[in-house]
Amino acid sequence: MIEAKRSVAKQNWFKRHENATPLTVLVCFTVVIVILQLIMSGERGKVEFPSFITPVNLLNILMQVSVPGIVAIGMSMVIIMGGIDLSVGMLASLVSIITALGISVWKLGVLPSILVGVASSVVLEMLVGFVISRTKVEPFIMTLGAMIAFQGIALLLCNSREVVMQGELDFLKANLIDGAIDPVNGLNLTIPPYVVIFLAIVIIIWAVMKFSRFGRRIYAIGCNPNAAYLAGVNVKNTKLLVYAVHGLLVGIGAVLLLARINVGIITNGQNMEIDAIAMAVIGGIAMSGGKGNIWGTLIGILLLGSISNAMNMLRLPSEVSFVAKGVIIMVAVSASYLSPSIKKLFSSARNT
Amino acid sequence: MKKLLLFTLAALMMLASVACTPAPATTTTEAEAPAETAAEAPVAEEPAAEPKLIGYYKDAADDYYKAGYEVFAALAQGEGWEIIDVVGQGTAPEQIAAIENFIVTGVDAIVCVQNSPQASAECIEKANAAGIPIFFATHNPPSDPLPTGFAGYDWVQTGKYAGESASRMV
Repeated sequence: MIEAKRSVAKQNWFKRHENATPLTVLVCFTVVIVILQLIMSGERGKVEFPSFITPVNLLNILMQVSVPGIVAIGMSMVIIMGGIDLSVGMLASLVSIITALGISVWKLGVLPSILVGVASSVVLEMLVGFVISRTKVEPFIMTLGAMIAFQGIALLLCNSREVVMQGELDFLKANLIDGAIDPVNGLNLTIPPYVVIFLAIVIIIWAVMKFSRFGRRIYAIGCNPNAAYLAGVNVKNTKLLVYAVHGLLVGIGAVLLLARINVGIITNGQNMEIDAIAMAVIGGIAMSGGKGNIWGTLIGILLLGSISNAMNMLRLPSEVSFVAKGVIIMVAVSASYLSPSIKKLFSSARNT
Repeated sequence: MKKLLLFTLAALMMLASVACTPAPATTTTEAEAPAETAAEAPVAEEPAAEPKLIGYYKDAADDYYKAGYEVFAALAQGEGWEIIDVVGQGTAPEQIAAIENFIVTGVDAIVCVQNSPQASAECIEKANAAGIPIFFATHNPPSDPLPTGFAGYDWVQTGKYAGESASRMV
């Protein structure tokens, strides 16, 4: 026992604390942007409060990451279980189109349309999950096929056009703090309900993964599905249930996306799968499964979501933000492995 | 070539519209000052206009969009203005996020090559709420709410011309 404690104590800080790496990268990124902003404003002749950390911008980032964030939380569950889902982007587009059609064309009413949209997401994800859990098909290939099929269904349903809304979902983006003003720049502060829903989902899924039997089974399957099976875990049904929960989260995210954009269009969820996977991985979720937690994913969501915004604040062209995103993913993923080598390098330099 | 010329013309029109944007309220108050005060005051050198910061969003990496942007950028830089150039990947959420980022960055005006008219309506509402003029290039913006300005083609009229010309040739 004492030996085990000693060996843990010997490990570097990044190894000891699961979320240390993404948190360090987020803090370093924020500090660098703030310093660069201060230098830039100084060069213009007037040092101003860095707009990157103004309340209005922090809320702006939260608004922008809410929908991909909800999808990333579901993706984290799937990856921890040892799976992957490439179909989430097109599924989100499909659900937003179904919901928009329900409201604007089929005249089902707002609530029934939302229910139809979310239910279709759960059913489609369960179909995918059923095949993955009952066969030995690679989730990567299965969900790639599903992505293409969902895109086709969505285009067929909307006749390759956009489904226009008349603001029926505006209640999901109403300002909960109407009248609040940013003390720094005087802009209106906004917290729409979808941000609150996003934060609530983060807390619920964290609690499920941390404290419930279902959560522990997901980790067990991700670590070693055979061992989990021998320990009495119903691997097939647990996998199916994870895809169902993931479908529910994608459905909720798609409805909130529709509320934000106010139009059902095929590009709504385009590339969302890439962002969702990147957010989870930056947050320390291991692609091999069984490792990571939801707080880490939240850090990954905030970090990835703030890169484009920060590039804007630094007045850099958007092409740079892709480079920054790529570098940050590489740094976040490799930092915990690189830190002992860097430490060794410093200590040897000190000794000589 | 015709398309390129049209884009160049659109960019020129856009720059002219941005330049003609009404000055902020404080300037109006100064302009409304009594005439005699202005006459009595010693002739002072005109203060140099503060350089403007423009947010320019293009929906996708496209040669024609880029040509229009480059003309705009060259003219704007001649005025000493600064441009934040954002290129999307052809999605509506990116367009809205870019406009939100421009607003919190504190740009003086926004130019947008849109992804979808409905997403543009959201952008116009946000820009109007922040008091920032928003202009559209290339594609028709929605008619409600109205943007500050538009330079580009009328796609319906273009289709009509194409149909008429085809019918003459058949």
